[in-house]
Amino acid sequence: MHYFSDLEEKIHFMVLEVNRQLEDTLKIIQDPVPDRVDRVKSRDDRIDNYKAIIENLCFSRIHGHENLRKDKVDFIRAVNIISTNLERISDFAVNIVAQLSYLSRVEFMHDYNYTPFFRQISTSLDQVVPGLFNKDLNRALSICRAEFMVDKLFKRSFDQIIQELDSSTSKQDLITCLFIIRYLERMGDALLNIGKAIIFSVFGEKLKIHQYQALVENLDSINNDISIHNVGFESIWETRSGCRIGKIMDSPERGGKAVLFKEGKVQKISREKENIEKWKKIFPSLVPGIFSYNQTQDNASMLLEFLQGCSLQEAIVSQDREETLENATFLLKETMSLIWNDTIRNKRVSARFTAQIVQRIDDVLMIHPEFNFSEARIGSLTKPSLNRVIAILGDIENELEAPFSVFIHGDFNTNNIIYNQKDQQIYFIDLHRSCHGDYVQDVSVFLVSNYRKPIFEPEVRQAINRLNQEFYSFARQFAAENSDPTFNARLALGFIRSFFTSTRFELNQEFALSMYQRALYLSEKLIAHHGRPWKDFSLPRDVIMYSRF
Amino acid sequence: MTEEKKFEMESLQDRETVCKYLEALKEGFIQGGINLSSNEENLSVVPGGLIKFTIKAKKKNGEVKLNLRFRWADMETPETDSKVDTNALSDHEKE
Repeated sequence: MHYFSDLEEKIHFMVLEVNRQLEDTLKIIQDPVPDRVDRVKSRDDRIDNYKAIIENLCFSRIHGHENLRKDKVDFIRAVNIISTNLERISDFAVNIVAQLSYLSRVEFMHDYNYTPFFRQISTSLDQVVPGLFNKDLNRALSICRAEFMVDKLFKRSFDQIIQELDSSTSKQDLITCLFIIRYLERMGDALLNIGKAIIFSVFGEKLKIHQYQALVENLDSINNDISIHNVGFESIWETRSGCRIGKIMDSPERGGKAVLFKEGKVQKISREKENIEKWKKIFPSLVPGIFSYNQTQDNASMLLEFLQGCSLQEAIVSQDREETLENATFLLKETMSLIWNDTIRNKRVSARFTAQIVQRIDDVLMIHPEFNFSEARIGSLTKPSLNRVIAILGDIENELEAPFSVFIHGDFNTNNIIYNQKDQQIYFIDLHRSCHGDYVQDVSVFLVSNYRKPIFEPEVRQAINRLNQEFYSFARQFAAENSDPTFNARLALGFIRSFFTSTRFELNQEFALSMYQRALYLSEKLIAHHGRPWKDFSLPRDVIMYSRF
Repeated sequence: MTEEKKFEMESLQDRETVCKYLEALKEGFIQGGINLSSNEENLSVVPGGLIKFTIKAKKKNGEVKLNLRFRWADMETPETDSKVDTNALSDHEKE
């Protein structure tokens, strides 16, 4: 990007200097030559200088007379965040060098595997300039991911030191080593900020101008009940399906009425409108009312009733989750039972889970390239390649149509279910995928959406596991009552699809791996069963329970 | 110094499927050769002579670790070691 060649040059040099700083710090731990220690300190002054220069450049560009477009301002903001965090990494390097002087022998540090920290951080720094200036999201993600790796390394050394503290006679040395690896861990945090800044420079945030216009039109079309001049956006966020949503509040003098503004591609929004209308005929109170709908050539938008309550996802983490969840689960089961029993049709359907995997596989492998694998052999045992596994699953799915259809939500994530305790009511939102389909799709999406919450506190996890257990039993009972012999096999396919594709939103490598391994485990089970009657396939229910090992 | 060759595989299994892997390894020991390959890695190990065999088991914080290790001198490349590591993990809190 020639437009910012001055910034590019400065950031480039700054990254090189910070990388040299790391190299020297590593060498000092191995052999603390006084000259080298001085070099690290004087280089830190140069790096501070770079930071000041870049900051000046950034501010003068933003406040200059260029009248920059928003994407350019976003870019400059990202550069400023990056330089601040680079400077921080250099400061941590200086702190490490200073800590070394408190060790009775520098060799003490050699007991801890510190080299991988340096390797991780340095490799990530190499990604900063190409990532930022080529708008390369892969590089940005790989920088973000380094933080998880560094945290893991920190945990390992931390545990080792804590264990050694009990019996060691050199407690001061151990504490100093702990400080040193803690600084390395904080370098990881700075890297995460850098990666996020690159992502921000690509995507930006807030409303685009055409969305603002759409909002004005929507407000106008509901008879000026709410005027754009009197409303305030409480929140704006972007859904994974690419729509933008905002909660709009009327001014308090006018009653503070809230509505939901939703804008996105015309196909999605118009389909959601049609589906809401279908749901209204089946269960009028289950879905939000539509106040207005507007459409241009590519985009559409609507104002929806703002449903009071919290999403089931919020209920899970709430303080009084025991009671809340118990009640919400009861209501959810009641609601599902009514919907399924009322909309059941004697028509065979397929959720086409394998096709859904194929559609998203490139996105998964872009974030986690290591998830791809070719055929493997362990002695006489052969494991097919990923492509082959998916092809076999496709063949298996051809034998596994659901014996009946029901009207399904289509994206039955926990955050698309609203629970209102006061009115004892469940609501559905985000309905653009609703259709007559296989209820197993909603069941599998629901269960995996609970599993994939990155919450690891044992109490919350227990609550999630209980919820999953209860909903699974409920769905299995419905299957039994309605003579659905292939329920377990289709559910396994649904889990494979959801576990596998959920990894594309998960940067925590370990957690992503746990979902990926579950998908492969179930695939192997299905493939091994292929050829025998599917009614005999048993699904290990542990797969939807998170366990930490 | 000879080039280091490595094979590593981690997966989720249950009792029934773990047995398939153990069977395949057992068969390799009986026949005197185990071929291990994945992605671009290909490694053949030939267990022979004396084999150092270690079993380690550990229970901690609701997690069980069972470690089987076989070590022997590689007859094909003198002065080096071959090693087959087997880890089996299970959660003993489960039913």
